[in-house]
Amino acid sequence: MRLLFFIGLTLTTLMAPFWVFAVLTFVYALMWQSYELLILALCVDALFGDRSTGIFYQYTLFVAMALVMLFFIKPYIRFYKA
Amino acid sequence: MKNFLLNTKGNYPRNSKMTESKRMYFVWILVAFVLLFSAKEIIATLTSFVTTPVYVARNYIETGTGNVPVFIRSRMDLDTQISNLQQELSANQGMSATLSQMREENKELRSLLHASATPRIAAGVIARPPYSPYDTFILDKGTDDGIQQYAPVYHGASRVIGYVRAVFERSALVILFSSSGVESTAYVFGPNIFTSIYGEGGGIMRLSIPQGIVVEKGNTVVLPSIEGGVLGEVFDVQSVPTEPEQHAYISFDAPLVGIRLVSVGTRPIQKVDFKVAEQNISDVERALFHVDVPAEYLIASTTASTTNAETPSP
Repeated sequence: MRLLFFIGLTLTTLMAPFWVFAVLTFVYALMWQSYELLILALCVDALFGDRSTGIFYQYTLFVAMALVMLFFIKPYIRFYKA
Repeated sequence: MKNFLLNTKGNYPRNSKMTESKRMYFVWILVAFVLLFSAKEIIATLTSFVTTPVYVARNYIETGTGNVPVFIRSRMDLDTQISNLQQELSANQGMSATLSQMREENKELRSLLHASATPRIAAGVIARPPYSPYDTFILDKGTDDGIQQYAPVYHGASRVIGYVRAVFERSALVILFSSSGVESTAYVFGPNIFTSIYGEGGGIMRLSIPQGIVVEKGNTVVLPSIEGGVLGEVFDVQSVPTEPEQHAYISFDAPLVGIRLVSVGTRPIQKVDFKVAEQNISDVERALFHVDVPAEYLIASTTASTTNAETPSP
């Protein structure tokens, strides 16, 4: 399930606008502890980002912020099985 | 009080595991940024080995003329049909549409390759905005085909749209002049001024000039650093009299989503001095108002214009 989701996330990152990546990243990071998202974002920024366009690390920055934010939020929104 | 403190302490969860987990997150984030700034080219090259086949496959399914892509594209139609004769009919119709598409593509390729004096390399666009990150194009040609880094990229005869930023063996990444944050020096016909233009994303560029300078819709904008570098026309001007600046917006002649073929210059863009920039502008100006009229329709004087000619006075 996780692998399929990650493959789908990778394909949408390459072919869909940034906001789709943002939503799916958020959902993925909410469901799993996900360091591989950083690798995916790093690869996208390395290939497509360019210093001449200003902030070329947009994907990595977003994933980093999402992971840190969810790390603090997760304990308050996670539902535990009885 | 002591008992209360002991009880309270016992109710709190042990947080060493959380600290370790937090530390791992920050270590991973730090490593990611260090790699991004120090080993960007290596990671980009490795990533291109994965992304290029994905884009080629998608482009093949969307525009390919083979049996498989035509079948996939027409699958939804086939699902509603009830006889083999209807399937054959839609296949024939698909072939007819495919032939028409191929004729248009052929015509576009011919115009790309023969319309300019300097040699160019035709390339297909396999990824384009908004389906590629950072408002970029991915081309299906690379170093194996002679594409060079910083070569200009054209759509049509002389419409420059961007430059090659990174080249791999069989693909190339193109940064568009409309990409967000890209700044270029441009010349605007009409007010005849040099100014800076800024990419806004989505095929739109903005130039900001002081109030009082008349810029109108339809004014042509060129990049003087590129030979034959017509960028586009002004399509909107926003001018509020109370503000010191007015903004004009330029777009490419074709929507980015519809650009399937481009031509790439064979030499990288070189930094030019002002004299060369002015020469490029003159060349563009001459080309803008020059039409290749067939000899049988063109009426022109064969004598020198300076002999026995008197300019009439008003």
